[in-house]
Amino acid sequence: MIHENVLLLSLVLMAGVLFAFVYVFIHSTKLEQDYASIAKNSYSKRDKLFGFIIIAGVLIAIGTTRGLPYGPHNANAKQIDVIGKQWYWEISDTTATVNQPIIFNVGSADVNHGLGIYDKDLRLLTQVQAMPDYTNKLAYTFKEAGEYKLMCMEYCGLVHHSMISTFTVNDEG
Amino acid sequence: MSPLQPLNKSARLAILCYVGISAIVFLLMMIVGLVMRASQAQLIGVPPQFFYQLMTAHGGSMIVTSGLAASAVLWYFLRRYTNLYTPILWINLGLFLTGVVLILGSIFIGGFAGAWTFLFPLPSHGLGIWSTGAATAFIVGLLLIGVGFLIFYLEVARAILKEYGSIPKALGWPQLFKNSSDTMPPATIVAGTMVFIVNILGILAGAVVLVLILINLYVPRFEVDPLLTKNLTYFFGHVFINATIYQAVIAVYELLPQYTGRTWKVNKVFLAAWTASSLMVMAVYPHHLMMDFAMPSWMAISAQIFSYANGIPLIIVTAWGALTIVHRSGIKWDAASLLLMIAIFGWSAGVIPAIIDATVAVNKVMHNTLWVPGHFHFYLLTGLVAMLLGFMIYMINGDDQSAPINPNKPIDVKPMTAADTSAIWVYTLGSIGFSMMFLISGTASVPRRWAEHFPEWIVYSQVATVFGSFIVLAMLILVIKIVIRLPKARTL
Amino acid sequence: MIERIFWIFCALAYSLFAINTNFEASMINNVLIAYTLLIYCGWKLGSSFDIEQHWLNKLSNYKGIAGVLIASFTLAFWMIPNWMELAASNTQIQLIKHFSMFTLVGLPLGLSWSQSNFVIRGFVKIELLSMLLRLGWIYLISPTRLCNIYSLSEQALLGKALLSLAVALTLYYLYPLFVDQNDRAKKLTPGL
Ligand code: HEM
Ligand SMILES: [Cu+2]
Ligand SMILES: [Cu+2]
Repeated sequence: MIHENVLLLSLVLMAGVLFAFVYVFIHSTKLEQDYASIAKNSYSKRDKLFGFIIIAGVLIAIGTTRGLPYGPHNANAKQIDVIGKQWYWEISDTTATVNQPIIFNVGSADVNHGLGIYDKDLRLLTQVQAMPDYTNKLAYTFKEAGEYKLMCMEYCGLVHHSMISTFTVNDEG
Repeated sequence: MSPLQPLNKSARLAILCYVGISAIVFLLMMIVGLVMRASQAQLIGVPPQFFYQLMTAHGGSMIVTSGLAASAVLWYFLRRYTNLYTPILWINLGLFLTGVVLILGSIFIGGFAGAWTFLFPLPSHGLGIWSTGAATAFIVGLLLIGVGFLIFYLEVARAILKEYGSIPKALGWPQLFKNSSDTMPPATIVAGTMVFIVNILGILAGAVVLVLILINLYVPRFEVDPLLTKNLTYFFGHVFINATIYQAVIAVYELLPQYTGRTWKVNKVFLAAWTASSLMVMAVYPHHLMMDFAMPSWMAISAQIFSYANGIPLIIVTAWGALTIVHRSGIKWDAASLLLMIAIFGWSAGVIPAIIDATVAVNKVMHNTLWVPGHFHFYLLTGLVAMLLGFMIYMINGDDQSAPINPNKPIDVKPMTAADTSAIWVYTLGSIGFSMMFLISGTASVPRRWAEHFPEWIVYSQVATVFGSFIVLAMLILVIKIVIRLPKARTL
Repeated sequence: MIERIFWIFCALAYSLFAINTNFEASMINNVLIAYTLLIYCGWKLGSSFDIEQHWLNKLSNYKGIAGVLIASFTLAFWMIPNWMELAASNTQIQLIKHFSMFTLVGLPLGLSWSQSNFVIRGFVKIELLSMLLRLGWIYLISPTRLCNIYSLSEQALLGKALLSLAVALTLYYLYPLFVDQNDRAKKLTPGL
């Protein structure tokens, strides 16, 4: 799942940074008079690192900016209107079937809210902001039948943490 | 460069006030943070309403106090190269304190709990829990603090421009783009210039939204666009908090050379990095708006790309530079230099989860989860605050006579006491552990800004509370030391 | 002396003209032309006095701060649609508006500007920019008429005009900071 991979990638990279610092820290108290050659050596390594980061960054950026969630959207999808209110969700339909493309038309009647869709294991599947005056279209297709939770993802006042609704996904047929 | 003149009495007193006040506020607000985490862990009972008040106070005070402490670092080193006008320090402090009193009053007397990001139109939707008056006090308080900082950065701009003539010269553009052989501007000047540019623009954006929200509170027919306010709010917030680090890092540029007896040369790479950072720190803010699908999608894409790129100057210039200057330097570590080095680690490591979250596909499942406080506590606690503590300890550790006049001459180090050593390492491990628990909670999809957590999530908060108490304990030792020794702080 | 009378005369002439015609029935005329003209006259009048060494000035208008503040507050006041509306429907209020633009915005600015320094000027400029941005924005997006006497399309036009002015002024203020002061005979950024 993407969640764990993100954590794993962060940990690996952070460990790399940590390694560099620990390495230098351990060697810091010994004195090497010839700073010029240390600097030269270090900066040539740095140029390599720089090149590597640029190439990796460009590849990752290209790879990850495909299939963005902003549309255009499937015109035949089932439309469900979701309006956030302090502090509940007003949902035009709380059911769907597996593999049925859905577009949530998300807005708000008062302040900023955020619509987060959680599965039964409390895992965030997707989300979108719910704001007054705008309708954000969130496309999602459920792959598994079951009970889902719609929870508020943007701080909206004192009952923000209880702004939760359920959403049921049924098997096909 | 002419030899250093001692700080004038008034400026020294003001700087020490900045240091003392921010050290104490940091400590108090960390305790507030610990209370929040302990309440999420269900170790103590805090009613949701009070939790959100605490959250507003913690977020708001931490941000503005970081600004205050960081501005002290900037001023302290900038005065070595320019003539700064001392009364500005006092005006800024006066407005700051007035603003903080208003903000705390609005929260703890008026019940305001709209979070420090005051996202429109939440301030006017207190639903009887907070009044229009309380929201007004909060906004006016922030405005006053903004005015103080505006005056401060205008003075920084004036002083730098007077000495260096123009923004391009202060940023070293002739050397960078025209191969000019003039001497490079010092790192402090380059950083100071970047900071005054972005902060003046950031404060302008903040002043525009805050007053609009204020007008709208009283005259609702003056409508305000919620998406545009969101843009301006995040522009202001992002720029302001990032600029604190760009000021605090001046202490690293200035002090590590003194500790190692080596020079940190300003070269073209350095200049290019800072110019690029100035632009990018203003261009990346839409990464806070990736889940606002009504935004033009090119903004999300450009925010992702700029966010990736924004990390490069930091890693390549500051982190690598710090590592190089320290490597086999024979440095004798003391509390200040150790904290500065740890801070560079915290900053570099902390931006990694930040950058990853600036990927649209990741943001979809991480935005507004505890991943977000995870990455920013990492680079604020292990990075920014450690850097500021390093500066503070540097200030209190020097005694007047032995302070080095020549900035390139090795500094005389104060050996660390056992209390110093243990406080620093406990602080470091505590803050890494605490932030990691936020990151892990984010991986488990725990939303941020929830006063009450599901039972499944409580274990994360409990472990985090343990780490948090380590931080508070270590901070207590460091802050006591700093405050007690303030009167004997260096005069140079 | 002649110069001072001239500027007072200009302001009076404009005021008479505006009261007797429909000139201020257009929002753009009202905000962009009327305000600018009256402020300019007052400014010119103010800057013809050399009061810096006067004890009263030293006492009350240190570095021109008081004058600059009076001017900003008055100007902000007359940007609020409610008051603009009132002034448009009532000749006395209209006169008060003209009078205060001249004596409470232009004049104090003229008296104070030369005494002020980089920081104070910068502050005023930022304040001016943020005011233009706020108002331009409100006027532009408001779906209803904020002043009953002006049409919606004109309101939006004024909004655009104010925003464009803000952008132009930003560039105008920034330009000198990018040009080396020492390379120029004339100092572009006074008060450093
Ligand atoms: C012992 C140290 C600290 C502890 C225990 C702590 C704890 C917390 C907690 C529990 C939250 C709320 C998380 C959530 O559920 O959304 C929070 C938010 C926050 N903290 Fe801290 N924190 C600490 C240090 C800091 C520092 C040093 C800074 C800045 C310099 C900081 C800045 C913030 C900000 C800006 C927020 C966001 C507030 C909001 O969401 O409105 N914290 N902190
Ligand atoms: Cu909500
Ligand atoms: Cu909410």
